[in-house]
Amino acid sequence: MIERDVFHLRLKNMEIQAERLLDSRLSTRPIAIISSPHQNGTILSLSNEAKEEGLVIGMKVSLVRKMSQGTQLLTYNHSLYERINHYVFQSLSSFTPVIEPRGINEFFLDMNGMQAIKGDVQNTGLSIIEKIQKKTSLSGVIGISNNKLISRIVTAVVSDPIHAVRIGQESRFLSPLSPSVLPVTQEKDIHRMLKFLLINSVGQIQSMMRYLDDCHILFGVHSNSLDKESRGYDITPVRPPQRKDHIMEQIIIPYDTNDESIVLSMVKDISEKIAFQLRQRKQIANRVRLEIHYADGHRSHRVGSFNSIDDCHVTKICKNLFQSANKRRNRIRSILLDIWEFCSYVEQINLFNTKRSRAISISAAIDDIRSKYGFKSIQNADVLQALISN
Amino acid sequence: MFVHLNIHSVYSAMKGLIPLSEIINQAKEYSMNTLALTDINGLWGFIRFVQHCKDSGIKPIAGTNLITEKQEILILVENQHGYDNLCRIISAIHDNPKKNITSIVKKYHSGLFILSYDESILKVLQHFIPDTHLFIELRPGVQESTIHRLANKLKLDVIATGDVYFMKKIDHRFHMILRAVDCNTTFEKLKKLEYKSEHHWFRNEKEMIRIFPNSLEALNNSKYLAERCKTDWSFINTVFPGLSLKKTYHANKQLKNEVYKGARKRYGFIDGQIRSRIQYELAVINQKGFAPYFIIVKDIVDKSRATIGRGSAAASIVSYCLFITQVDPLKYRLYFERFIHPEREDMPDIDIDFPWDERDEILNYVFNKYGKDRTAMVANHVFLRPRSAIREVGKVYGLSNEEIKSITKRIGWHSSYQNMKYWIHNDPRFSNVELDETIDKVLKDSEKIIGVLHHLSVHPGGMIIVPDEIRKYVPVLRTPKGVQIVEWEKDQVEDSGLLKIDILGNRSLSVVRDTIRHVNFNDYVLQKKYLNYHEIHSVTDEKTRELISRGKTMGVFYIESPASRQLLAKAGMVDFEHVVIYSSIIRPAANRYIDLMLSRIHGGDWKLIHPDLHFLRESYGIIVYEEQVSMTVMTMAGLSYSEAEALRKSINRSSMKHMISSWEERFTRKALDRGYSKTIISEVWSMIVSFVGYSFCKPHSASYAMLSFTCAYLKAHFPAEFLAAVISNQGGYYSSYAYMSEARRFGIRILHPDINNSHHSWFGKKDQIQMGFMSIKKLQKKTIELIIDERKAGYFDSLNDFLFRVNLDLSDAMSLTNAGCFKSIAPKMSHQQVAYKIAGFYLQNGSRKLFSSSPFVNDITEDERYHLELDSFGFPISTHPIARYRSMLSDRIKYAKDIHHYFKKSIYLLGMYITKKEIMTRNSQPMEFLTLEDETDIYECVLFPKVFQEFGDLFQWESSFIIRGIIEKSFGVCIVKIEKVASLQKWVHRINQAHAL
Repeated sequence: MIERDVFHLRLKNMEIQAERLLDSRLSTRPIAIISSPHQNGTILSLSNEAKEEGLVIGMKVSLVRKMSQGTQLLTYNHSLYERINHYVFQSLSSFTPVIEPRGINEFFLDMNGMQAIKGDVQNTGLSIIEKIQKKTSLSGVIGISNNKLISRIVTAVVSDPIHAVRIGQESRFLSPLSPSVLPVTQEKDIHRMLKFLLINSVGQIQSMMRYLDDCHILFGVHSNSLDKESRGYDITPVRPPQRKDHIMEQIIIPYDTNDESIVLSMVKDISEKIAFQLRQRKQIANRVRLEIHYADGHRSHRVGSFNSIDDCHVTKICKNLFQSANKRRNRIRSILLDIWEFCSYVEQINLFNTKRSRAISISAAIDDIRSKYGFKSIQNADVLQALISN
Repeated sequence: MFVHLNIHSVYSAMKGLIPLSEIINQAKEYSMNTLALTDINGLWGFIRFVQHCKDSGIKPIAGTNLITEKQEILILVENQHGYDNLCRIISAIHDNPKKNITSIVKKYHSGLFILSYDESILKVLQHFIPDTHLFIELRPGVQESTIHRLANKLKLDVIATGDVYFMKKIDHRFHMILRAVDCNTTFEKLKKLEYKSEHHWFRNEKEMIRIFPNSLEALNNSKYLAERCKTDWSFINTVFPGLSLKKTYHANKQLKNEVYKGARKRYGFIDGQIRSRIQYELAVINQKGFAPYFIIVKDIVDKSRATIGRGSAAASIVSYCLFITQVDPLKYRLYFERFIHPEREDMPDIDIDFPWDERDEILNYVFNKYGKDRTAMVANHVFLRPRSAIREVGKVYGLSNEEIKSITKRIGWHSSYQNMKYWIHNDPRFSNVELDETIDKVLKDSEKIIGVLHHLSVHPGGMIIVPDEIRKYVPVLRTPKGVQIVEWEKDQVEDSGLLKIDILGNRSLSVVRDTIRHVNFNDYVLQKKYLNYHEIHSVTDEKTRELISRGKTMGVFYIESPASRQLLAKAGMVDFEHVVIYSSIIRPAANRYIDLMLSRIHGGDWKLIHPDLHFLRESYGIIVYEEQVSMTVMTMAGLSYSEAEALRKSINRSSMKHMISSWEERFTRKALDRGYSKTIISEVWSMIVSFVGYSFCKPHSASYAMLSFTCAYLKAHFPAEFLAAVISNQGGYYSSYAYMSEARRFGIRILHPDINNSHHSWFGKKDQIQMGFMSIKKLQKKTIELIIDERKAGYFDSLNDFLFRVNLDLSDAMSLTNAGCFKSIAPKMSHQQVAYKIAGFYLQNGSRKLFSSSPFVNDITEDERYHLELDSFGFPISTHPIARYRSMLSDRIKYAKDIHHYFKKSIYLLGMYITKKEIMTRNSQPMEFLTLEDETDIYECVLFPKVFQEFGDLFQWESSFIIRGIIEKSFGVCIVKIEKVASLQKWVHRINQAHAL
């Protein structure tokens, strides 16, 4: 087996920590981060205070509302957590170039060969934790082992800030743990079979694997994975992420509404912002995604593309996407526009005074004003009215 | 001289906004003495409209606004024949809403006036409808000049109408909200064609002239046409199922024979008293032409072994001898006149309960025998209530389900509160709800649409059989499931003279039937003693009385609720007559009379309110039965029989609630005139109003009490068989778990489901109940059938034998394993070993092989067993949920069986949730009655408003509790007045944490 040093950094309760950073009033209150405020939404993350109220992760929002009136329910704030994630990622870059983010609050770090530069792995781990704490005020734990699987399990089950599992000790480390720590047990069939057989520890799986033929029948195609994972065997490398170029604009409507006239004005506002940026870049986007976030946590989206970058065209496309996506009566909280797959755009000079050429000229004139005095210096009346009425 | 000939009420589903009472009041205010109700595609509220009009001295005209996708006409009724045709036309439109209106009208136009503003329709209709019956309608939104041009062209008279949908112009917004609700859209997205313009409000003559200044003649024409319409509606004549003289003659003869035959079976002999009662009843029945109806009911009743006739029919010896009812009216002094009074104009119907699982079969039998031309089910009108109105308007405003539910969950199903915004802002139950501006708007708008007809459903058992064609009496339609229903709900059906038979499903009858079947199947067969439903003498049985007097009536029909059980235990007197009283007095508005009666039963001083009301002596001077209401008002106010019946009906029916105040005024005035004091009158009236919305007549209570006694008899003598049948038939007042606990308290052992011994349902035998396969969650019905079928070839010898004989889905095999079904055929194997073998076997395809060995050795722990049972059945079997915690808690916590030792003391108890009932105090504060149990007994608790406000929410999600409460006694029965409650699980968790520290 090749010896590797794989670190796993887990920012425990990152969402809770982030919300408390944002609003200090929440520091002692019970908080629950929920997937959606809809009755079928569930708790994703909990503060200790909320746990003492009897709440548990996975509990339905409808029940939480009845059980604990004092608990602050916060809808999962993806953009905030993403920003923090990005910042942590940048901070970790000074330790190793090979970092793989996993989800919003986990990072794998390939520290192979770093021992020579940074010294002892335990000390390196400690300095990573300190740096993150200093830069973001978030606390985290680090698991160290020969592979990603074990490192990640370490941070999930061990409460110490740093814990290392030495090579060859993986099987023994896993033996007393619950089977749910193994990723393959998330497979519905595996989970169901383990539950049926009343398997409570990885150790029991390890002994079952002696009857390999039986296990092939019981666990089917997953039996090999289960065998490997139960022994702590994992050879997957740490993969750095690939980033894409995109422009994103989001508008949060000051109060939730399903009044179409107001919402369409908001769509117009952000589509003009997008169009303005595209004209600045002299690019056109082949992909545009409009996403509606409803007040009850539901989302709906449609994807399209732009043929031109004048305000008139971009607004029209965005409005069409909105109308096609908005099939519900529920109130809307925010609208998000994301565009990518850019390519250069050159407007051909039009010899005739057509409607399109007029639109292009108007956009160009407005751009001049906005470039000089800021985007908000000139706005459409209906957008302004909607913003004022809000 | 303008008469409104086109008015839509709340019965124009999700379009009309005006209640009938408001239409009538407005018409009176505008001095209009004739009105036509023209709801869309139906006569949905016509009978009610006629009643309202009669009360206000307004002449009612029948009509409809027939609207299909492409066409629209207005139809008014000229005469009775026209009414028949109108019903046929509407039924035809219900059959096929896309059908051309003109083709239907062509067939059935006689006796009808047709109005339309559409040139193409008028041109077609002109071919077969004379000018005297065809008119051009001038309605708001249509140009006067266009209509006048059309009139000249077609040479037809013009009639002006209001085409009314809402009362005032400002109500247009609420009409739009209704339309948005109906079209499943938002206010802004509502298309123009989907709603009426703001012109369709209720105008007076002057206002009509203002919108049609050049059409005075058209306005006057409305008056002339109104005078030609039928307005003398009367529904006195009952529509019996058989009409011809010959049929009635034969029916009379057949009825007489059947009654005497039945009397000999019932009584064994026919003495003078029986004979004279039969003769009297038969004479009245024959005179009223009621015999064919009895013959039909008898025919239906004969289809089942266990039935019970209820309602006033139980006062008849004829019903008793035909085995329609089960109470001897002679023995229990039930007066035939409550059923059919010689002065009674309308005829009563007969209600029969059947075992719930036989009801559909019976309905099919009736439809097949009498045909769809003559038969239909009664409809239920589902109106928007506060809960549904808030839900629907909330959606229009874009509220999420969660936001809507935060309000609607706290509103009772039948609440009809006015000024909801104020109420919700001030009711303590809503103190935790965030009420923002949008919710305020929703509440305000919801208030305006409450009472609008939302949709129709099928009445659970009301059925009409007419002698000829049902479509001429009332329009009929089909539900999406294909059931033919009439447009009216039961009250309008009754008031229209249509005679209905109520065929209702009753689970307790199935319980009785199954218990008897099991008892006869068990070793009683060997003793050659067969139980027979009609031969159970429960009323005189000591053991039965003892069971009832201790309130041990869980599972017993009608007297099993905590309130009833407590009443029985408090009263102690449980002879048949008293149980009849209790069955009748347990109703929402009569709580204070229950305590009064209990004190009188226990020897408290009392005398009649007035010596004239001597008939109240049998019920301790309290008005308990409906007929006592009638007799009281006849005695004190000198009302006639029919007036007294009308008063009783007004009080009983929510649809006639508006008439209560006028009845009160009349009763008070007349009683004062007859010399009764104001105090007596007021005392009597408050007793009468306690009947609002919910009350029984004595024969009905007696019928129910008889079934209660039968059930109690079975429970007292055959508790295992009885409780097994109660659980198997489901749907009782309590959960299966609660009934299982009750069985344990009767010393009955509960056996896990077993692959060789279990049936589909639970099966009781002597002191044990074998759980049925039906108790295993997620087990498919076809699997149960497969196992039982295979078992006919012989019991399974071993697990291997089962595996090779029964081919199952893995999920079903898992459910059977987790439920412990294989214990008896694999006694030496641990649960894990069985599971390993089962999974390994059923996961193989083709020729399967058994796993030779298993890696598992240990058997499951208690905790694992507990969770397996929870997963499999929804409740634990091997141990009581409370017992798991008992050892971890202090000895100071008492047992439920001992609470009577702690009278007036504050003690701690553990409790598992059984049931609860929230009520409002006289000061409109919510409080709750709660039933809990521990390992030793079941006990009742009360949470007074202050405690309820603090702890009430806990009962919404927790199931096991630790409580501190004071033991109170009322008439010798203990109740725990709760002071504090906590979740038992959390309590134990905290104790464990403290120990760990």
